[in-house]
Amino acid sequence: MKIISEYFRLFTVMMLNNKIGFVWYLIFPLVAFFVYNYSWIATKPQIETFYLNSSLFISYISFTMSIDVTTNLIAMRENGFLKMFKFVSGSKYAIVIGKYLNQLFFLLLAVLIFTVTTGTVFLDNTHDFLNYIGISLLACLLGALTVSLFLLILMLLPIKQESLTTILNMLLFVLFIASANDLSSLTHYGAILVLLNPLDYIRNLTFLIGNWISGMNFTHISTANIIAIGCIYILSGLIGLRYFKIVSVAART
Amino acid sequence: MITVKDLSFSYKDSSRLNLDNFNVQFHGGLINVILGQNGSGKTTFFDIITNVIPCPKNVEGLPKEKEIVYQLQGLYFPNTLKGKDLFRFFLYTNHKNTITITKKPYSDELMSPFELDLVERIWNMEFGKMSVGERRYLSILAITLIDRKLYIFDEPTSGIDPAARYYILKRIEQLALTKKCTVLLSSHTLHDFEQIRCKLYLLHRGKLKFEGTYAEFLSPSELSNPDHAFFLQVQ
Repeated sequence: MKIISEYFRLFTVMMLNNKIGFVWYLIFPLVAFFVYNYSWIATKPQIETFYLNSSLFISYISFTMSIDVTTNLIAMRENGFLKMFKFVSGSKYAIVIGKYLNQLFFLLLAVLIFTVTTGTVFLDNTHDFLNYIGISLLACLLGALTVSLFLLILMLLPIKQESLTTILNMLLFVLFIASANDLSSLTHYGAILVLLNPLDYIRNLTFLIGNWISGMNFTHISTANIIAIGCIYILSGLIGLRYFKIVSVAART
Repeated sequence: MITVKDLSFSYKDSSRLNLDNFNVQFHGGLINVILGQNGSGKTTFFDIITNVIPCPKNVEGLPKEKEIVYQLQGLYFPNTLKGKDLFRFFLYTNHKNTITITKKPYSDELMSPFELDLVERIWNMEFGKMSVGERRYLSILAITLIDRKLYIFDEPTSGIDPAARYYILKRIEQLALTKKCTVLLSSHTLHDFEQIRCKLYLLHRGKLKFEGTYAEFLSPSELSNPDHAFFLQVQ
């Protein structure tokens, strides 16, 4: 546990050193949310509409920060960090867990800031405000736990970090549009679309938790499907975690 | 003792053999220095004996993976990380650590006045403000405090000044002389080994081209310049 906390500490210093990166995770969705919903400043939204829109941005934050676990680990593999510290710590898992927990911590922080800001501006009712924060934090925590793990499967691909980041950024746009248009609820094979779109998975999870906690009635894929997809993500992630190499096959370390 | 018998290796999709029936024995009590041109297979060899590349049965006498430490050069750390934090990080991520770091700069009886002064100076200095030599010395100092049976140093003295090279190699030499362990090190700065208890191994075109002391390395050419002797060996 002490070893993991040392990695957590180092990655925290790294994250704080890269303030612009962290701010970008937060500022972009926050600005986009306000631009997209500027009319709500004059006329407060229905709580259901507010959840529908905010869940998309919370999923976006959760997904982009989940991706970073994998891209950062690939960068560490390419610069030799994983190779060296695997031997110092006796295992690669302490490094991965340290990074995973660190990213979750900053994700919760980012979502907390996002929900407090948007909730303060657009929600009048304290009960709704607290519910909104609780649902969002729980959904992003559960979603990021599974999605971050799932994305570790990408470490099995012979691809450089810079290439992967570019591909994922392009893919992110497609996944965001697909989720924003609720494509999964328009077809009979919506669960497959959600399986292929981790951003939409987090959004569906937000709706499920929203229904549980606040008694609302959001449409989402079935609970069984959400659990099944979560299990597939976790299983894939564990395979990635077990078999990824500590040296890059795409770049010499 | 680590024994390598008839070890051959090439990367997938490569027509060149990085190691070609390579035979060698490494002993404790001195530094085993692996020499060779760039791309001669030194790092590949280190990767094989550490099982980073799956280790074949041609290598005997290797300790378990948890008894190995493998140093690499040029790692990235945040610029704001202080010397003491970097030192702490190396030691506290060690799975066998028994050392506690305090606010006081680290010191031990093996360190010279120059080294004590150096550590005191960089203890509270930010990583981004340290010279390459200072960074390297601090990380090698921490690694020599990690208790293992096999130590691998991949070009620990590349790109640093003669004084820092000297103290780094002396520290590694102390490690080899005082602990029951095997030390392997690769380098291109050959002059440094004149005053170090070591054995040189020249890896060339996948084979062991030379094995012996520093004096023996120079003797065929009757030269005092080891770089020239190296040049003649690889022609």
